[in-house]
Amino acid sequence: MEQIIYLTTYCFTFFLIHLTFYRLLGININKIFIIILIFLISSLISVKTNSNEIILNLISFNLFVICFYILIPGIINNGPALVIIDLLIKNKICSKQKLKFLFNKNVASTIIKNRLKINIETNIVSKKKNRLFLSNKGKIIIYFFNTITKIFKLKTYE
Amino acid sequence: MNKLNFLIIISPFLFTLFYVLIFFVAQQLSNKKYLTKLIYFFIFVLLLVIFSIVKFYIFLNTQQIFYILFIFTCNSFIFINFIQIPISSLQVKLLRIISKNSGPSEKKINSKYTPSNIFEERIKTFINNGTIKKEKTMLKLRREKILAFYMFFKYLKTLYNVRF
Repeated sequence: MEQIIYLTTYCFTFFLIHLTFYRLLGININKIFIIILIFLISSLISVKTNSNEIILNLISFNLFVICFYILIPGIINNGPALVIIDLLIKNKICSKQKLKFLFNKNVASTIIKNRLKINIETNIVSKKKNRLFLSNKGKIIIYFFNTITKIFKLKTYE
Repeated sequence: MNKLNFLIIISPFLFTLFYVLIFFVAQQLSNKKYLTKLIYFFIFVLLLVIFSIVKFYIFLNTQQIFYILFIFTCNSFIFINFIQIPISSLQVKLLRIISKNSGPSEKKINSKYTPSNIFEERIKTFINNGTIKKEKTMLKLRREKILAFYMFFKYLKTLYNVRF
């Protein structure tokens, strides 16, 4: 039981640190670099201590950090799906035309702009003379998700 | 580390692998309603995990039980997101557009992928996965369970001071 409390404390502390950095300093520490750093520190601790209980806790904490990394962009950025659900909850039953009007009025203009900005800032897309190109990182991401789409036969509405 | 401890460490990963495999087989048989499959197979494997824990209860302590459940849930969350991202992520969609058209301008992207397209796509996805019900021209939320996710996101957005 003691170890579970420790793990909960680590996870909660990580969440609080992220929240503090984001709200007070405007810095998003949710980066691949942080995940790798935590993994390296955890590996070092598990090798040094060689305790089974600590290893279990460190694996759990590392996976929590990865899940947090996946979850946070959905909270910081406004996705169209969540906006549609929000509008439907507020309006209960709604005609498609009305919903489309409300959607366009609410967020439509900023959605694509924001996503493009994020893609450029994270070096997934490069901008040369007003034209957009995929970087190597972007090509790997596309290849990875296209492979998942093919393997699991997913419909992507293209 | 003895054999039992090693088995405990890898067991949630094996359960996740089983989850991935049954989803893969189900998708090969029919690729409709992927979200329903993702959710129901998760519940099915989770029940299997709980059954295994009950079966081997005498060999496990509280931390190990918690570990197995926690790691399986985290792994499943990651897998569900990997399936969801190529379908609904706007960032990935924009990358696809850039990859298909060699060096498009921002203006061209905006004209190709308009807010109206985004709206139609999302509504189509929602109707296909059963989140929204279409009655003639009216749209209605079908699953009350979606409210739990909505409240969770709304609460976190408030904490992070992000407005809709």
